[in-house]
Order: sequence, then C-alpha cells, then structure tokens
Amino acid sequence: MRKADLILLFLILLLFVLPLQINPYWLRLLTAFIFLSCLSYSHNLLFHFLGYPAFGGVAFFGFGAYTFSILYNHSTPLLLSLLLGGLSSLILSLLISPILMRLKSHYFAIATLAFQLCLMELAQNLEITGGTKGIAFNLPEYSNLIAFYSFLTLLLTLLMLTLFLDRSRLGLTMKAIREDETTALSVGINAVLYRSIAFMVMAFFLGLTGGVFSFWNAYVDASTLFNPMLSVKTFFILTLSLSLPTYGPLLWSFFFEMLFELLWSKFLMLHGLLLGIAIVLLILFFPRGFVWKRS
Amino acid sequence: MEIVFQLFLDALLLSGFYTVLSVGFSLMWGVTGIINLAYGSFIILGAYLSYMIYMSGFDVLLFLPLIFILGFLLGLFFQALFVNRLMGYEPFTILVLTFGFDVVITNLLNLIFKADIRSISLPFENFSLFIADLILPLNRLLVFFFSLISLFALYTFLRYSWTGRAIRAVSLDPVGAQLCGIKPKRVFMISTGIAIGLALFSGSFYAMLQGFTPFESGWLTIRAFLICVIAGLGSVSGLAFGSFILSLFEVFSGFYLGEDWKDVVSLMLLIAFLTIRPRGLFGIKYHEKG
Repeated sequence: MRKADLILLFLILLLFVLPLQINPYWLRLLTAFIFLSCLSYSHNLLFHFLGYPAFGGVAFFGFGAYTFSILYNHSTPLLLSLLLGGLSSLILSLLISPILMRLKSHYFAIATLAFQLCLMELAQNLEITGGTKGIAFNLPEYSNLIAFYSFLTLLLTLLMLTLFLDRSRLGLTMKAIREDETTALSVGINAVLYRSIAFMVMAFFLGLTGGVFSFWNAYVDASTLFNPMLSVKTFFILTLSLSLPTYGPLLWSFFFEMLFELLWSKFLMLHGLLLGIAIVLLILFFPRGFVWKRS
Repeated sequence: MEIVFQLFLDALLLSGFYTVLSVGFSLMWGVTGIINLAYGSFIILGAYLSYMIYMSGFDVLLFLPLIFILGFLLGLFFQALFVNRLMGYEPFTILVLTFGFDVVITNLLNLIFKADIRSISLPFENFSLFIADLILPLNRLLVFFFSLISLFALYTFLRYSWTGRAIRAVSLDPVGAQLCGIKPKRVFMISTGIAIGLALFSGSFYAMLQGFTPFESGWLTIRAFLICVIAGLGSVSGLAFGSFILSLFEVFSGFYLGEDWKDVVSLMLLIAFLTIRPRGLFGIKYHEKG
C-alpha cells in the first residue's frame, strides 16, 4: 500500500462515521460531493483508460434513474430496483454501442450528448416517465442516510476499480489501446471487446448512481436527470484531473462542490456567471490538469 | 395536398436562416478544428444586440454590417486571448473552455435582460405575399433574401480574396500552408472572427423570426452541429443543402407529429448521420484533428 492510499483509507473511514455527527446541511453537501465524484469516476473508466469522452454519458444516468423510479414506485424493494436500474442502463449501452462506438473523439462526444438530449425529449413526452411533471415518491425514514451510504459504497467500489485498473495488466492493456490502437491490434489485443466492456461497465455504474440519486432527490424529472450541466461538471473535473486520474476526480469534485455551494449561497444572483468564469479561468491556467508534484 | 407545398416552402425559407446559422460554426470547425459550444450563445448575443438597437428606435437592417463587425472583433479577441493559448493541448480542454463561455454569456444576458421572452417587430411584420394558395410571410422572405446575399459575399470572399484562400489552405493542409508562409495563428484569428461575426449576424435574423430568451443557446449549437454533420465540412453550398434537409425534417415533423417531437426527430437524424456517414454528404474528409 502506498502512502496516498493510507490517507485515502483514513478519509473514507472518516466519511463513514461523519454523517452521525454533522447537521443535515453538511450531510447534504457531503452527499452532493460524493455523488459528483461517482459520476466522474464512472466516466473516467472510459475517458482515462480508453480515451473516449462520453460527454453525454449522463444519458445512462438518467435512464437508470427512471428505471429505478418506476420500479420503486411500483413497490419493488429498494436494492432490487437499484440493481435493475443499473442493469437497464447496461442493456441500453449494449444496444447503442454498435452505433456510438464507431465514432471517435469529438464526434463520439457530441453523438453521446445528442443521445442524452434525445432521451430527455423522449422522457418529457412519454406517459410512463410522467411527462414534464416527473415522478415523486414517498421515502422511508432516514432516507438521507441510506442515500449517503449507498453513494459512499458506490464511490468505494469505483475507486477500488480505478486503482486496480491503474496498477494491473488489464489497465495497461486498455491504456495501450488508448495510446496506439493499431499497434495494440497488431499484438493481438481485441480493442473493440475491451472498449465495449468498458462502455458497459460505465453505463452500469452510471445507472446505479442514477438510482441512488433519484432516491436521494425524492423527485425526478427529465430536465434534472438529463441536465447537460451534469455532463459539463463531470468533464470539467476530468479535464482538471488529467494528470492525476486516480485521486484527481475525488479532490476536484470536493473543491468544485464547495466552490459551487459558496457561489450559490453568497452570490445567488451572480452564481451562474461566476461559475462560468471559474470554469474558463481554471481551464486556461491548468490545461494539462492540475499537476501534483511529489517532493 | 396543398399543405405539403406550403410546408415545403416554409422549409425552404427556413433553410436560408439555417445556412447562415451554421456557416460560421462550420468555418471555425473546419479551419481551427474547434467545436465551439459557445456558438449558440453568440447567436443569442446577436439577437439581444438587435433587440437593443430596435429598442433605441433604429432600423435593425441598417445596423447588420455593424453587428457583423462587432462580432468579428469579438471573435478576434476570443481566439487571441483564450483559444490560441490552449491550441495543442488535449482537445477536450477547448470544448470545456467554450462551454464555460456559453455559461458566462447566457448568465450575463440573463442578468441584464432577465428571462422574459423578447422579440422584435418589423414595420411590415403582418404583411404576407399570397401566391395561389401559398402564404409567404414578408419577414421570412426578407431573412431569406439577406441570407442569400451574405452567403454569396462569404463565398466570394473565401474563393477569390487572398485571405480567403489562405483560410482554405490552412483548413486543407496546415503544414503545407505554413510552408508557403501563411501564419496559422493569424488565420485562426480571422476565421474565428468571421465565425463569431456570422453568429451575431444570424442572431439578428433569429430575433426577426421569433421570440427569444437567454436560454436557447444549447439548441442552436446542436442545430449548427447537426447541419455540419449532414453536409460535411468544407463547402458552403453543401451547408445550404444540409440546412434544407434539416428544415424539411423539422417543418414536417413539427406539423405531423407535433412541436414536442420536432427535436427528437432532429436528434435521431443526427445520430443516424453520425452512424451511417460521419463525414457528411459533401464532406471532404472525416478528420480527427482536434
């Protein structure tokens, strides 16, 4: 185990006991931070290891969230609905990947974004998703805590997966595909297979995140679930953590969520503007990601 | 049966506006390799600029050249101060940067003008021409006419002027152009300038055609992108055809399926084109530059 891992382990243990001590406001904030890092880590599986920017990956998040909401409202048990939400996103990604995976770089990014917006429009027009009214549900007691611990479990799984991939042969294979696909193919790596599997794993985790999010939010509608702002936040974080792909998303999500909260609470009128300015400035100054120098 | 002809005509008139809307986006994408996510918000900026001119009692049509020049300067500034600094890094940083600008401009407009729907009424707003059973609203006809003029001007500029040829050279072969003594950064600045100028310009057309709020930029960007994907990069006439296809789909699906489904249909069109023919109908190449 490395030193950074030990610090991380300590922080996460702290996160496990913290909610019992703090007031609801901070719990809400903490959950928002963990939610954002779950989104970032899921996207990172495809973005960092294979170089595919799924800019509209939030499509799977929303799809999983709707599946969860519909199932849960028809009195399916919580865990089962969550799992089915994740699986439904996985199946969706299996269906769409022959189409999307043919594309590369910007084309791929925008095509996934179009897919996301397409689902958003569909959800606004269909009966089963409640149209523009959305879906609300009754929550059990301690729902905030349940949501917090679900998010935390999800984050831990994703983090462990990322660390494993970063250090294992499997992850190296994926990076080889990212760096030079032709060479990877010539040494017998099945690039398409790896890519499709990574895409499906990403979709699965996004679906799970979507399920927990709807439970946490207690109400879902199309413009919340397929909000392009979520994609932008995620990719803003991922771009800034380019040079530190394992811990970066965690640190930047924390920083970003705090910044967002500060702007929201102190400058209600200006917060959108300031957020945009913050995005522009941070990207301008750290185009390679924020470099983490070891002493 | 007559309704089909009417819809066809509507689509044709709309396609003029769509061509002007997408041509700047296509120019910037083709030359600098940047997908400018802030493009739609520059269009909305142009719409509000026209609204301000309109509210101070002037004729918007007279100010169109001025709006273009203002946009040109804004584009130069944008490229020189921000985008040029990030050229050569991970292409994704520029995408995030332009989205940051989209957020800034949208929120700025929202702060100044609030989220109410604004519109411009031209003096002949309510007049229409009638040919047989077909209706031709004058404001749309006027926008179509002005679009044709500006597209023709752009085409002539790109085809015959020295600067235009330099722009095309950089877009086709950056290294070769550099060997001939063309400075890419300068060409980038000029083409972004023209692109943003055209965005503001088409914004005032947008204001003449319909009401607007600060929050419509995303859909405008997607439309511009969609037209570029249908048409492919590198030809103005191809863009005109792509716009016509998009407006046909939009007008017909809007009429037969309802306005709510219009956007779903356009997005499905986008996904279909990306799958079947990512370089577009008239595209020269499907390049992964940036």
